[in-house]
Amino acid sequence: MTTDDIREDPVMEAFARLPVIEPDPRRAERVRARCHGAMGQRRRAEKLPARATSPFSWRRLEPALLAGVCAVYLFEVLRRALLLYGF
Amino acid sequence: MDRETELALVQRLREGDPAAFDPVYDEFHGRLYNFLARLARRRDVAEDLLEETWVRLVASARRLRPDTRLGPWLFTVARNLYVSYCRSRLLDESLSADLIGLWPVTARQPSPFEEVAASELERRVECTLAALPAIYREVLLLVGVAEFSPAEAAVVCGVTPEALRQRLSRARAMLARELEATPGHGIPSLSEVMT
Repeated sequence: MTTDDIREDPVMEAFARLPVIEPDPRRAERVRARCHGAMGQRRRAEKLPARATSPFSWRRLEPALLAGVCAVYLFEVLRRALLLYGF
Repeated sequence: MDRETELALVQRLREGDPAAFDPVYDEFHGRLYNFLARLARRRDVAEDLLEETWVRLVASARRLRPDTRLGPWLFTVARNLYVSYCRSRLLDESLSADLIGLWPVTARQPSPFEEVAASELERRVECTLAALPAIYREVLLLVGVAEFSPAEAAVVCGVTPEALRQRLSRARAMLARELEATPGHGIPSLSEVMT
């Protein structure tokens, strides 16, 4: 069937007369609000990495500090173990 | 919605502008709902699939191609969600059939549109449409109700335009045959009304 056939076809024409049923308006508003919220959240989330990439940001500092504390702890454990065995 | 406006909206959606969502929503929400409700034959399922369609748009907004056609894109997502829903329902039904023996769980429920169709002809078209297999129903809905061209409907259904045209002809013939076969009491058949 071509587009012209469809326009002239009585069976297809019957579809144009079918009643339009409206979706639940309350749910429609909820969906709209949900999507707005998600888009807004996404936008805000995209602004965060800009702050996180600054040289003194906590996100970069945190793993380094943790690694430092672990290294000090491990060094102290090893030092005491060696002392116990008389080295 | 003209193509220029559509392209501008796609660009704004790609940029994550929440204000660009509203015109798209207003344009397609009702059309998508009518398509899904007639395809699924249940309002509650249509509402759920419709919500998921919009959520998918928001999630994919950044990855939209600049030349995206929003209508076919949204209807493709909605159709694919319906296909997934049918698959999961088939699985559920096969599992529950195992549990409760051969109790018929696939009895067709009347479409919500069968209940509200104002005229007898509308009612008959709705009934006949609802009884058609889903692959023919979706083609008729896309072309006859959502007013897509056969080429656009082919994109939505994931088939070639030629295959869609054949499917549409077959669907139209089935619908006409069914309408002729089941005239209402004291109501003229479709051909009598239309010719």
